[in-house]
Amino acid sequence: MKTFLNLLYKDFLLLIRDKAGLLLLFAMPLALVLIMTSMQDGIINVVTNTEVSLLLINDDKDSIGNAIEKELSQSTVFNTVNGRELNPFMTEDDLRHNISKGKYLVGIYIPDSITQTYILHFTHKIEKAMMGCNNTNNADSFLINVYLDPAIKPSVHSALMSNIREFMMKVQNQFTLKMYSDIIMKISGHTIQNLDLSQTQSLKVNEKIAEKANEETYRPNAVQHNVPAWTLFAIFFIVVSFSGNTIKEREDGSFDRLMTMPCSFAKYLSSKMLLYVFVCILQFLMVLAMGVCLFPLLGLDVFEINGHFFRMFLVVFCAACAAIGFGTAISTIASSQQQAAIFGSVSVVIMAAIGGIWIPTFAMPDIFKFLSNISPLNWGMEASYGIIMRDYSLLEVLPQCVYLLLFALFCFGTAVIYKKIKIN
Amino acid sequence: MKSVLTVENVIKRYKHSDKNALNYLNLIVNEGDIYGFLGPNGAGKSTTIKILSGLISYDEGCINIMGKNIKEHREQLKKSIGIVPQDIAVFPSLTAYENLRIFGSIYGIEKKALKERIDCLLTMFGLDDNKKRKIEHYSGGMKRRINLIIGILHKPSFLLLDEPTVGIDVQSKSLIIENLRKLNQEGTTILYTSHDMNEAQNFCTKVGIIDEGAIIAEGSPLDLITRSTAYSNLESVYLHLIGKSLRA
Repeated sequence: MKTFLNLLYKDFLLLIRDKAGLLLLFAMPLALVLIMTSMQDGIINVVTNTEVSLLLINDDKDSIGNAIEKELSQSTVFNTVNGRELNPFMTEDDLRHNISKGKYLVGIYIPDSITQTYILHFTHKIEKAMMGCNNTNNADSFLINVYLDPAIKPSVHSALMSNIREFMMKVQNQFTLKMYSDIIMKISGHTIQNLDLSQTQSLKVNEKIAEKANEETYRPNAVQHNVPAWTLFAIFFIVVSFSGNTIKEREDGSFDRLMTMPCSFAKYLSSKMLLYVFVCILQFLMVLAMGVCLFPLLGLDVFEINGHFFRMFLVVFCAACAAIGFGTAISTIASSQQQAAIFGSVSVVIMAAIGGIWIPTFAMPDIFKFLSNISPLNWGMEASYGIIMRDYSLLEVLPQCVYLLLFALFCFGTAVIYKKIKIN
Repeated sequence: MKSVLTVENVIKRYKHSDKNALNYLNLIVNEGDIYGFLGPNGAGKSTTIKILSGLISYDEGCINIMGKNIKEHREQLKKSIGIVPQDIAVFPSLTAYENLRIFGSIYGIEKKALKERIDCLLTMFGLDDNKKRKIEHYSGGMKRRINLIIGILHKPSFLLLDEPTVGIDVQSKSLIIENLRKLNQEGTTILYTSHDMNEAQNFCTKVGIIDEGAIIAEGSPLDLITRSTAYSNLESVYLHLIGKSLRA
């Protein structure tokens, strides 16, 4: 026990004297979680909040043009700027130029006389219909040009176009209904008071999340993905520091010296493991504290662990064991620090990629969905999602925890067997 | 005289080599000896030291230290043997005192006794003023001295030294040799490797010259020198036996 405590003290001193290593262990996960969450939250805001800058030129200046302008200015999705207020002589070309330069995300040009053309066309169609003639020409359209920033992402593009089309449909419906009511009034002599069916959405889509029967349920957001994802990434990235330090001791001869003393390989390894498990837990607690205390101050969603701290702690502990097991195997097999650093970092990045740290596994092609099952980071992510969003019980996260511990055992076993072969 | 180390017909083969690294090596180091284990690069010196340290195993033969077989009593023997490797095997980011405290504690030395021993050795080797400095800021000679102190912290009965004075200045070398002699007088048996024939001639009570994994000559330096009138010193004996051609 005394030897073990001395080794632990030695590893602790070595860790705290390694300033660059400490920065990698503690600053990196905090920075990753903060940057990734802010970025992803920002992208979501572009689609859902009043962050989309829109430049509008309304050359119609009549009912349809004014209705579109009014709807857009009242919208919570777009921050609408009237082009003519900026420059009374702004043309459609100027608008397109502004969008292509990235000054605005969206530009809408409403051409001159679109209302008059639409009224003429619509009245003509109704009259023909009432006279019993067939409306054969169904391809009538009135173009309102929408310009989008060329650098816009496909996912944002779809969401924006969907929003704009929805606005156009709303305006068109309002206008069409108004015309219908005018015609009915002419025919019947009755006035239809304030008929605005467009505001009445009878067929509603009620969106619900399939969660367990629990009052306190949550929808996944950038915070709830990134906090566990990057904590797990940082935990596994510890293999670089762990294997680096272990190989450094082997290269400078201090490991061999310890092995010539009354100190077994098991004691040597277990002191290191205990210290690094503690580091992993500290990483988790720091990221958790940031998610709970700092995120709300930065305008991000608070990280809700939903009262399941100990379940999450168990997952972190098992992930830490798996990471350190992996680090032990790498440090035993690799012949130099560079080899361990390259193999360790690349393998963790690959495991993170297929494990759903960057892209959720459901968005992956089938082959990668299948491959994700072999990534320890995916086991950790599944367990974390389960706890945070699906209200998993201890029993339900147990399989993932067991996989992580089995992975750790497999790695330790490999290291010990390799070591024995090397000595003999 | 009681033998501290007996090596009998030891063979060691490395996987990717055709030749045996140790080829029926026989060696006896008696109590109180300062045994100089001399030989060219690749002769088998480091392999022997590694086997005696328990870092690698051997294939055939028998090795006893203080009458105990090293394969069977490895853990028990670790407490009685001191090892000073050729590399500066310390933790560079820790201070000299921290290094000595950690290594001494692993040997199981009690806290108070360890502190006294550390202070005594630091003074003895002229490092007392620098005990709170990190090793990474030490000079080459200071590093060698701290490397040696770690090996003798627990007052070993048998000390293995792998080129303890390589690459250091005359003053540090002289201080190390002087203190090793004192240690020997206090009862520590020493097995020492070196390429410095002059140092070995003056320091050792007995030398063994190894080549191609086997001892080719053994005796006191004086005994070896007086075997032929052609020999003027240990270096000339060595060159005559080993030859002047370069080794691996």
